[in-house]
Amino acid sequence: MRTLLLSLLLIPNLILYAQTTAVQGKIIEADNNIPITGVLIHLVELEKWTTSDANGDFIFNEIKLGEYTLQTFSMGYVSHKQTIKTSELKNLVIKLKVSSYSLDEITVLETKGEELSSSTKIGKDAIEHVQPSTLNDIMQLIPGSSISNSDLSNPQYIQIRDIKGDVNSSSGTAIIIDGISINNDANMQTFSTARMTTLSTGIEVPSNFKFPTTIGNGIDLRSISTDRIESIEVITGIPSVTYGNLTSGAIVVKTKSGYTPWEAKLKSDPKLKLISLNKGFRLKNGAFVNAGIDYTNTYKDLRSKFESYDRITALFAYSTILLKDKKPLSLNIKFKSYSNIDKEKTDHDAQVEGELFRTSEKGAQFSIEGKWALDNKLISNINYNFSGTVAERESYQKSFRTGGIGKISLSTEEGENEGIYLPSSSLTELTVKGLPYSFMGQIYASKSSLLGQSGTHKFITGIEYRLKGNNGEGRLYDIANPPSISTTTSRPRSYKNIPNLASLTAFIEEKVKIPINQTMLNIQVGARFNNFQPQNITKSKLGWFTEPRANVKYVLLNKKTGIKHLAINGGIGINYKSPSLMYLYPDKAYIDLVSLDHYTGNKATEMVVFNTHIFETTNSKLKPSRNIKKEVGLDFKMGIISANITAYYETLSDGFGMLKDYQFLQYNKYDDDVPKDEKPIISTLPFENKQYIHPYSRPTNNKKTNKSGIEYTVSFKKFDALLTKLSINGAWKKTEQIYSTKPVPKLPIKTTGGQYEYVGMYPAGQSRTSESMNTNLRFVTHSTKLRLILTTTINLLWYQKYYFPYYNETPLYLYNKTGDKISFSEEITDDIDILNYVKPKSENYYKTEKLPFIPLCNIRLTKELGQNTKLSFYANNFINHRPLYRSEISGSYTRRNSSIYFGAELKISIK
Amino acid sequence: MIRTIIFISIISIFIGCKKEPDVHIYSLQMKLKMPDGVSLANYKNIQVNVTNLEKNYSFTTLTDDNASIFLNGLEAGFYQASAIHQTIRDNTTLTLNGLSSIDLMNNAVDTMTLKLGKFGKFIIREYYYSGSTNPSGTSYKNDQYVEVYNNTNETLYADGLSLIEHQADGESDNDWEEIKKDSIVVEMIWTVPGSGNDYPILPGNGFLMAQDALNHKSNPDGNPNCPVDLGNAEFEFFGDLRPGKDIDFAAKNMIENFWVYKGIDISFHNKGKSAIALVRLPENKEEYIKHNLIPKIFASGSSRYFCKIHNSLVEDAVEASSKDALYKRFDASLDVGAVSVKSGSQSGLCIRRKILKKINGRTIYQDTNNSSVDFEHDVVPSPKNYDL
Repeated sequence: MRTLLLSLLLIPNLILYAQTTAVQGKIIEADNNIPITGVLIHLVELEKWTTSDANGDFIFNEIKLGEYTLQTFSMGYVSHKQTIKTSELKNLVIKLKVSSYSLDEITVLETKGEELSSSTKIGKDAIEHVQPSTLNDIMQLIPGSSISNSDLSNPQYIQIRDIKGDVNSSSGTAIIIDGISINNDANMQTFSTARMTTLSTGIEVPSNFKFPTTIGNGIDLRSISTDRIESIEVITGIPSVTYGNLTSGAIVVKTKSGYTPWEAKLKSDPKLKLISLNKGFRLKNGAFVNAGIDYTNTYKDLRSKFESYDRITALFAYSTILLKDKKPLSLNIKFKSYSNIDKEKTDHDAQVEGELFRTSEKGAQFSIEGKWALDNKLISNINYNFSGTVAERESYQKSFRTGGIGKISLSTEEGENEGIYLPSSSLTELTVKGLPYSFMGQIYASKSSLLGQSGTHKFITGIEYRLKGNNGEGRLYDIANPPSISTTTSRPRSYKNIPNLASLTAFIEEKVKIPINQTMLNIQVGARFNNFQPQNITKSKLGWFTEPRANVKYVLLNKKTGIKHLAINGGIGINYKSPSLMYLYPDKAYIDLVSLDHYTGNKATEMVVFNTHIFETTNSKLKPSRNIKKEVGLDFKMGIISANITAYYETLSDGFGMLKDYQFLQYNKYDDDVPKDEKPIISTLPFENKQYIHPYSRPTNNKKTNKSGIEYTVSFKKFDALLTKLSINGAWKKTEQIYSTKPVPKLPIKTTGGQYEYVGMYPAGQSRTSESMNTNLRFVTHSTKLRLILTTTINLLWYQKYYFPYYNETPLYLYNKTGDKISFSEEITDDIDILNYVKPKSENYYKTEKLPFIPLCNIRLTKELGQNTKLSFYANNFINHRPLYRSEISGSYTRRNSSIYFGAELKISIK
Repeated sequence: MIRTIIFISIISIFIGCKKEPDVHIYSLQMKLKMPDGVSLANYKNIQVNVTNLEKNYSFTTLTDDNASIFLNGLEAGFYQASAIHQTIRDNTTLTLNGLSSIDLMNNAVDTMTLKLGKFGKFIIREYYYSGSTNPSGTSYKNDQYVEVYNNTNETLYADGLSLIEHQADGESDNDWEEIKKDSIVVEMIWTVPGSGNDYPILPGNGFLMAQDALNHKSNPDGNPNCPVDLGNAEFEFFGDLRPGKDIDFAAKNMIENFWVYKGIDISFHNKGKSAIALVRLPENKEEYIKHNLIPKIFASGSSRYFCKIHNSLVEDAVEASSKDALYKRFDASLDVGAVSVKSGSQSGLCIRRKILKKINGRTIYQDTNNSSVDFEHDVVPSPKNYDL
């Protein structure tokens, strides 16, 4: 630590007095020695960068003597990385190879990210080989993930270190595409939040609302095209401070920008068709323009085309480097627009005709990002990123309301009001129009320099502002012909008055690499200071939250023989995710109780009187959810093996959920002794004051998830005789999901008529524990001669189990209107009426469901044909091994593994 | 390639030559045992109906002098045998019912105990559960009803008569199989109001228990496709669980004594999974229910309390069942058979008891405690039309 502090103090001196030289070189194509222009060249340690000119030449001036890493990037070429020493600094000749399957360097596997904490990098060849339809398909390369068939008929959510889908985990994963933070935070597509319940796996909306919605969850991955992706980095460990408003992790996607030939792609599998066209142009001034369009169409069931999902995405990108000669400034502008329609309509052959459920979204995303190499004493680079998104989201349902003659209140004010009767069946329409928008601006300065002979340091500091909101027309329907009738019903609501979500963040991070004898110590320490819902710079509505993050890596060995590499690493970090719009500004609860019900079937004499109660359901104590991540790891390289193992423990607390709030409502019930041919006069009727207990849902922080596990990757060098490389990855994972960390009120149904006067308060802590262990064996056969890559994946799921830890079903106490509490003891359970307050679980319920070993085999094949064509094919579960499993808990049977599935892809490039 | 084809062909030939399974043939001897204290003048020619449940065919055979049947050449399988016999003693008709299941894996010797059925005073004449279809094609279930009929020659009082729905659905295991011979387990009990003689029902007359007492057919708020007018129903089910939903029509409301799956209004399963019965509980119904609660723990882990009612309190039971029902819920002494509307849900059709005879214009309906033979199914609901 003392060394570190000392080093930090010395930095300015080192910069001022060091002797300097220039690094100069030329970049040429390996096959024909033609100079390549526009190649991005990085001097990693100094964070210096430049591009090659028309002759392929580049130069870095004023470089202190030392050892550096030089990296190049250029579309269509294999990236090049080399270590250069002071003596080699001049007249470097870098030969770049054209990316092709005839090269051994091509990898279709993921690689470990360069960050100090867990991350996985997936390059374009790996993505192409997976033949993905959504990001989820690519996520199967992450250690510990399972493989399933790609399915676009239902919303897809991201899962990081999860065994089972989890709302807080998927909404807590930041998805950043070309600097645009894609999120679902301003989604309000529902009928009423006051009627929602949250489950551990998702949000439950009342069953009569069938339009597809992803409210309260993470982004629907189906809306993201995987077609132009250059690279993906999945950060599962402790992220750098430049990433915020997340709990589980981050997925950083970069799309292609640079010169590419015309590329046309056609993908087909039994349910899905995809077509796309892309091109990257080089302009005369050296700038690049990339444009592309793709269309996907999929059906849930090919035999009945009534549930479908369509997506069309178009991208336009402009990237250039200004001030090339002195202090280069990169400018990347991306503009994306998309449209998708998720639709279900009733079968014409079915009895009910004309029902339609549809959610469509049209959106545009814009970003401008880059960096400016100021390269002065204080600042190496200024990084900037401004992005905005806007979407027009429309959920529409046309459906029949059934269930007998209805009655409904039209009042939007509290108190008694006369309502109307509705016929027993009627065609209704409901539209929810959302206009979610977001803006994010981030700007930070970084300074990198050498530390002594071979140490380095990088310091960054910056600010960030995020804004999200919804300016939609909201929920629109005829209040006199609602889609369904319920005691807690909704009223139309415009989203235009809903305040915005905002956050203001400052962040700071220092990263040092200090050589200690033959070993190397890497430390990254930083923090984000968040003001969630700022009123101004110093005042906050939701509060100030600090996210300290630290990662350490100690390289013990790094040599050419024996154990070539040995390193240990560890990290700890806190992440916060602010609540989404639906939790912060939920709908009001409207509870309509009937005071007089005088149905006569004649409009002139009938009369229904309601007593309407209205409640704000906002929770002023709502706070961001928090995830504390801890991990330790080991890197190891010896002989033909390189391995990595990471153990982690995460605690997500204050996760968002809905909790029922019971209200003891008073209302007058009028005696309806009026003859059916007369209209009652309410003021003359005798009445009785009655109580009715009714709940509504209120947002709260009551979910908690503990995740622990061990992830590992072992890869072997290619066995040349077999042209095959073996890579093994896998994980042991355990998650504990606590359904509610707060006591849960419930009002049991009184089976003997009427309603109980007491609400039961049940203990917090009901939970589910899941565990799984898997190993993924991947044999990558790469024939450079045939220009063919075949990957055979054998996913060995050693076991998967879950159980519900014992939960005491006895209420803590019962409470009534006046707040009297009756403590609940065994004695009073003898009272039969009280028995309904205790719902003991069956013995089976507490059994452990342990699904035994099951293998799953998949193959993927990609072959280059001629100069311009690439053909890919995949088959999942090609041996169709799908055994039945009988559940210990429920006794029902399920079929394991996904069904046999296959698809093919054809890509044609025209130069 | 050719080699592969040859190889596959050889394999398929071997697979193709697999032996056909043997057909096992067994015999079955079954003796009918009379209920205690019942003896018949003649034990010969009692009709026994045997059904192969796996292949769904049945045949009828007659007993010999020893009240036994002997069948030879039965293929192995799962069978159900049922017997009904009526005899007259002391001027009243006695109905003897028997039901027995046989898993025939060997030559078998078995007995079937017959039970003395009860001749219902109040009987269920019509049970309309299938509901109808709205013009839009959606389901309309609000027109469901049960018609109760006085099948005796004396005035009966509807006061205090309860309608129950059995807890099991007939399509999955009856969890109450063990106690079936003594009790039924119910998920709801609704009782006709009155203090004892408020609602007299004359011989040859009946009354309706409607979900909603509305003229469903002609009321514009109803359903023009509905086959019935229930505007004059005597009683209706009115749920006040959620003030604001069910409508209180003119008919008298049934009393809700017990209702586990409390909802907006009662609703019978429209595919026919609701088996129902008329019962007469003791005066203090609340006490009876409280002392006869029985828990059931579901596979999902949740549990609920249901109510157990002794078979002796049952006045009449109808084992309405869905087309796929396999599991009997009522004991043979209550209903030995089962009946269902074959046209299914939303068909607007119901089940109705057959007419046994007419005496001086008064219709007497058939009541052998076997709904398979006592009821007609898929008939148009005709409440209170006692010519049908």
